[in-house]
Amino acid sequence: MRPLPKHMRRRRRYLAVRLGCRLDRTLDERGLQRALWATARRIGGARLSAETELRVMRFEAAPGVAVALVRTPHAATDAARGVLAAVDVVGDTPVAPHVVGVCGTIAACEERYMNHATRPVDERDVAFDSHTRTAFVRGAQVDIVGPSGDIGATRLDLE
Amino acid sequence: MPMDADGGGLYEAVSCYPTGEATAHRLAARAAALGYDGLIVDGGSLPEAAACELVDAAVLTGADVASMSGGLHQLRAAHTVLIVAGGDHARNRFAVDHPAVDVLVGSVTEQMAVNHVIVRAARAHDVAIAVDLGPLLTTSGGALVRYLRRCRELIRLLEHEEAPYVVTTGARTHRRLRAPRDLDALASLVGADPGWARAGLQRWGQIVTRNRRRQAEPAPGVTVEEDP
Repeated sequence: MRPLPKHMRRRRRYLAVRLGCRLDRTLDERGLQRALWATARRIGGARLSAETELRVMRFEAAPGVAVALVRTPHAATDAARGVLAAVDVVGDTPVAPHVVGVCGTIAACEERYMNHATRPVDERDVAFDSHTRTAFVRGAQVDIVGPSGDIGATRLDLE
Repeated sequence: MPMDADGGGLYEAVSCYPTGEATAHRLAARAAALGYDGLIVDGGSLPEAAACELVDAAVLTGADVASMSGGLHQLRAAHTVLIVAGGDHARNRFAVDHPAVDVLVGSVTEQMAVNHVIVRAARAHDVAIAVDLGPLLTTSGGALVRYLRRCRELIRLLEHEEAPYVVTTGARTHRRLRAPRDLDALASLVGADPGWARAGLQRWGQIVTRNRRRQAEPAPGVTVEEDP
């Protein structure tokens, strides 16, 4: 089948989203795709979900951080950004989404926002708030396994 | 980050450990990465060198107006930003009738708790009413529908009376913070104008600047005499 002439093709935008999560979890692409659809439906129903047509095109994940390229029609870029901002959990993992950039092509987006090496996560015991706790550490980030859920901290908070 | 022409950097209000589930350092690092100029923090002691500016705040809570009014002036004197947790009509009315209060939060947790009288009083006494976008991230179904209905009504009242407002997600962890631009896009999805949420974040900055100036300067009518 012949491709559509250039002026009749659908114009799209690719949003680069950086998702942070607990350092002992690694997000998966399928889970993110489900979360995007679920969030669009939660906020704006089937109409918003159809309008934004969110689709994960590229995905790479390391423990605690993932970068995804999400495709959306050009006209729905702002709506897509709003939906991405409303994502709070992927599967059962709480996440922190941040739209770091928008590009017109996958290649440009990949070059700018993906393939950044991340440092490995280190598991160790730390002293925090006069208790010894298990923690996951990467760079300055420290995720402490607290008595009720995890506590976000930095190296500066350790005793 | 450069300050905008209308003054006031971008600020968010958060609760840090032990009230919340992330330390002030971690919240500050996240906020700086998202493009905020600073955070307004309640709970815990503030560290010196954080990734962005930290402003101490107090949240006044209480079961009724009588129990809240006692602590008001003490908290006002001790903190840069004074936030009052409202809820029902009486507590909302109490918050917006005191010029000493900076921000009223949680004003729409009960039905019919905010009306034109509250919003007009808020404008008259320069008390900002907080619009909490947090439920947009966490709730769904009927709870979100009820929340949205109240929230839209509040936004409509605020715009009609041109009353001061602030925008927050009420973050208790670093993950609940969202970039100003992302919040703006999210607010647009539920019927706010583009730029509305950003203005609400800048309002926090204006409150901080104003209160710092008030703390630094002597009260009106008081003159400071220099020693010869």
